[in-house]
Amino acid sequence: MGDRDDLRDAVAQVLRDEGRAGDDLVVTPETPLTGGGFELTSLALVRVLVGLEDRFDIELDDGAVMNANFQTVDDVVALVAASLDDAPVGSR
Amino acid sequence: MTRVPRAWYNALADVPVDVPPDVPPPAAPVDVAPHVPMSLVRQEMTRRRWIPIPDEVAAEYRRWRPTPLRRATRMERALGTRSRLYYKYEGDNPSGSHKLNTAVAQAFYYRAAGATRLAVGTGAGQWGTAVAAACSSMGLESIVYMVGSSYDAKPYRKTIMEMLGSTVVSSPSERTEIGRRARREGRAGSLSLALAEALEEARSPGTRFCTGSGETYSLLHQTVSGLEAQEQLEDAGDPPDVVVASLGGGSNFGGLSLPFLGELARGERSVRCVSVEPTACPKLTRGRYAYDFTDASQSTPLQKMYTLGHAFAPPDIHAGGLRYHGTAKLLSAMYDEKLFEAVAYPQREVFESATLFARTEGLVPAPESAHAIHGAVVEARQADDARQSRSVLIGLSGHGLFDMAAYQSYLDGSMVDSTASDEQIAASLERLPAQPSES
Repeated sequence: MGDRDDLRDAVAQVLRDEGRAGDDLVVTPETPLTGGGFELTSLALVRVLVGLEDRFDIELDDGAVMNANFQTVDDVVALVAASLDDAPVGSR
Repeated sequence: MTRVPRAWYNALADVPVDVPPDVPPPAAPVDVAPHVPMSLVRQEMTRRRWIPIPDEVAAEYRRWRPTPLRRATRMERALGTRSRLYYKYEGDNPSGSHKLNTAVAQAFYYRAAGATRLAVGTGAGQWGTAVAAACSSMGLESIVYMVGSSYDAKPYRKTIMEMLGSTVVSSPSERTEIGRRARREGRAGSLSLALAEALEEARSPGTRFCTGSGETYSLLHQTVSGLEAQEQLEDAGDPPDVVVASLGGGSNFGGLSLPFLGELARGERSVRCVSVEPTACPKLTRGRYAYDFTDASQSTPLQKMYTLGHAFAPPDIHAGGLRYHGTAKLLSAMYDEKLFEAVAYPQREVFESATLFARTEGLVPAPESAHAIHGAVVEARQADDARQSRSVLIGLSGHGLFDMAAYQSYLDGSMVDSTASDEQIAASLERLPAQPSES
């Protein structure tokens, strides 16, 4: 299992905690954040992002978040991955 | 010598309350895009006591801060009181009110998030003017949807916003779909309609909508006022027994009082904080602590607050900034724990005190600030009756130079007192949304 898969699993767990997805939801990179997927509201997405900042000890970039097109799980994974890539070595 | 604070004070670090979380509106939009920069979200949720002020925001603050704290000695003599009345004046900046303290910060964070233009709705015009000034400083464009009746009644508000580079639109307008529909239906302008037009405007590329008063980060930014006042009164050797400020959405009252309430919570000082509201819009003194919409669009998240109901239509008083139906959620949670006091007064006695203040101190208070002045007068009289002397800090949130029509109506006797009726409040509260189950 690659780093990206591990990251997706961690993101998916936070999405499950904050969304209203059923336990039987099978998560793929294309699983939608809203209808038919994690059933997130905009408020829940904000809580997800705050949860991910805590989980990975990162600060998501204001511009990256505000200009992201959040449709699927991997849209969130890409945001976190970019922030992890930008974080200085030893800061997390 | 007082300096501009280097950090905002976060009362959540000290006050013994949990602010209930926002909940999605019943008809939650499909769009899940965040509309508020994460920097502001973090400020909303953290329990860290001090939030550093970014250098660029601090540099902006230094253009008009520290704001003066003065003792109203002539007013004291006119009242014949043995109490000491101090006022912290936030009107000496291009916007003329405290609103610029958060407008500058929000413009900074929205610009960092990629915005090139801010869209806002404004009622009396203070928030619109503050955003116009902040955007001018931060290199952003701005567009202000101003409630049509205010647009017509306060033409110089429009002028100053345009001087600062903003586009000002009378709401409802032909510029947006919701505005055109309202005009077709013959609907009068309202703040909620102006907000809805600004929200629609924010769909334009590079444009973001930002809100003024009730959010916790807005109160946080306003604490520069209370922090400075603490230092100034320490320098004067006369820390306050009572802090009095008017309450509209809550940023003015919160900005001045939260640093003092933090000291109280930490056991460092005994102080009373008193919020003053109009009898026409008595959300703390007669409202209900419940989840409600923050505006009449019913599209924004529900917040738990002291509210008269989002459908409440207050009588048309002159303190336009105090006509909001709800109270900031942080202050609501604190009031529910009885951490501060609330009083309500009708506008004629408020303007009587404001006129005395103008004649004795040479400064015309905004109608909103006039409520705080009257609250301080009542405090002083109560202390005199009890043969006590109090140090009273007044939040003078802005000047009233655009409010001469209000003062004229007081002087010519045409001003009337308005009090919300029990039936009016009950009818409005019946329209509260279904309350989320406590979990």
